[in-house]
Amino acid sequence: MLGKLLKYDWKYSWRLLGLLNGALLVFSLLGQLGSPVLWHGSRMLSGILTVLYAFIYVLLFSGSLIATQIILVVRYYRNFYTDEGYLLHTLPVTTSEKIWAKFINHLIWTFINILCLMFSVLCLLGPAQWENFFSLFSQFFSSISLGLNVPVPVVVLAALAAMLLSLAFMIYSLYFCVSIGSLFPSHRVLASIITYVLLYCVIQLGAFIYLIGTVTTIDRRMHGIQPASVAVTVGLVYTGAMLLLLAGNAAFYGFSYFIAHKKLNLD
Amino acid sequence: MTWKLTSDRPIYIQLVEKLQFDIITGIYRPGEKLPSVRDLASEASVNPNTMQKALAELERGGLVYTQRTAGRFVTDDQALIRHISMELAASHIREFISTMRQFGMSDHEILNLIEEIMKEEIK
Amino acid sequence: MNQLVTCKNLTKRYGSKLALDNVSLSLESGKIIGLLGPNGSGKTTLIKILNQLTSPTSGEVLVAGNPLCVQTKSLISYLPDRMYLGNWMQVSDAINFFSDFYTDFDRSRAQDMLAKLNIRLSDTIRAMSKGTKEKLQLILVMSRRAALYCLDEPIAGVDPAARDYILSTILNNYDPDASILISTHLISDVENILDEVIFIRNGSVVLQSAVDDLRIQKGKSVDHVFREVFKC
Repeated sequence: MLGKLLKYDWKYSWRLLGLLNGALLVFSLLGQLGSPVLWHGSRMLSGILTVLYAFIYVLLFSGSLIATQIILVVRYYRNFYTDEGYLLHTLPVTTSEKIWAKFINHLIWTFINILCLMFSVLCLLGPAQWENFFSLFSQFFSSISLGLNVPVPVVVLAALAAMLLSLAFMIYSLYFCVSIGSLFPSHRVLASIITYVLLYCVIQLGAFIYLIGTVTTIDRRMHGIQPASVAVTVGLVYTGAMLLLLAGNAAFYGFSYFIAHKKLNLD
Repeated sequence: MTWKLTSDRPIYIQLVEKLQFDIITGIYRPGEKLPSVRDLASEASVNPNTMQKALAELERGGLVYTQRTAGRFVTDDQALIRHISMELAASHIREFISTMRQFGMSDHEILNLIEEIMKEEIK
Repeated sequence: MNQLVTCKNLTKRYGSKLALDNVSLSLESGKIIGLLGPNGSGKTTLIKILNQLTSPTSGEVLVAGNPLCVQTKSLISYLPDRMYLGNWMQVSDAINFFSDFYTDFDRSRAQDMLAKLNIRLSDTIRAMSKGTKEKLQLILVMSRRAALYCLDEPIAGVDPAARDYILSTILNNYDPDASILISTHLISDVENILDEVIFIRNGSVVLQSAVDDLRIQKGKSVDHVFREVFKC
């Protein structure tokens, strides 16, 4: 049943997000292919076109980033807590399947969006810059690997895992806010947005405290300790952050599950 | 064919009456196969359960019978049909007479009036 | 007779408001049952509980002998009093959706009924009139071979021609082994197709009876009995 749910979530998203991300890709390619032609034209015209291009590009770039998230969270809200909920919640599927289908689709589209954004940046840079771009990445990973004395693949894997958990955290926090909003008798969208703003502040504050806390601990421990244990400390900080993210994900998921399962409030 | 049903009497009784009427007047001929319960119900815009009940009632009276695989048929027994039609006629006449008596007419006056009207109609 | 649904001491509270007050009733298989009561009497709440769109504050519901769960959802075909299909869907999407999730969905039956109304598979729901959307939804719901159909106010606010279409669609697709629970306050329109009625007022069941028994007993139509019971 998860697969079937996913099929319709994908079908819905594809119509809107396929178009949006496709437009970004095509526009980036157009810029890359068109730039030599552009520079051969008159100064004035190419200047205007460049400004126009940059304007639309920034719009598409940031637009696709924001729209991807908004479209997917609105899909969650509409499917779960509006009239469409009368269909979704009477299907013979479990609550966890419903949430997981939304989450997996959301995650896939977020990845697709990130890939499209990266591709568009590569297009903008032009093939001449690609080598520099990639070496920046490899330098970043190898320097960390060197500093902590950990193999590069482990660093890459750790980074990927952190990215996955952070994205999941972002997605589930959105679902959490929608679930809170659904408890209100009216103005549910507004309630969800306010919840999100408040939650965002709390998370930023929490992250800040965690960082300050760990940095001061590291600072205290650094005195008279061998360099080898720097890696251990960084590992601890990393593991701690991952555990916190995991706990946050579980809490957001659990809450969303509870509301959809036990406190369904369709007017 | 129209089905005029009122809501203040049990629907199945009205269905029985209507089907009886159709058999007596020859809309359904002796030995003819009746439409299925579903078709009859949909024609009358009633619940198939109710139509089923009405047909079962007719079956009890012997006016229709079921052949296990082929469906429901009107009885071949012409005498029975005749008998039921007489019964129905008698009950209509009884009702008529009681109404006429309420109008204050004597039995003699009723008979005379009937004869008079029948003569008029022949002309 | 086969007990299809049993409700025991069902109570539902919304804050301080009592929507259902200790309701106990049972529905048998093979009946068309009218759930009748004025607006706000608890009809929709009862149907929402049966379909697990809200959970009772206390009490128990059994469907085909099982407490409400994911499996009981596949036994019930539900028509809510609103449009629940995403308006981005085409008719073909909606049909695929139903046949994906409900194993008892009869695709060819649905397609036949849609063809009779000249609704094309490529039509988008967004572009349909309200009446067409309602008919599409009814066709999808009645094309399932469910054990129980819950129809919430199927004829509220429709013109007489549409009402006739809706009632004949319900009757033509009704399988005498199944049961249909129709909630409505428009009694005279449906009473000729009902086997049984349940009167509900202020969250309590005031009467449950076979329709013909009620007519014999009172010598009146169900509509008249309803007007007497619910006289203001």
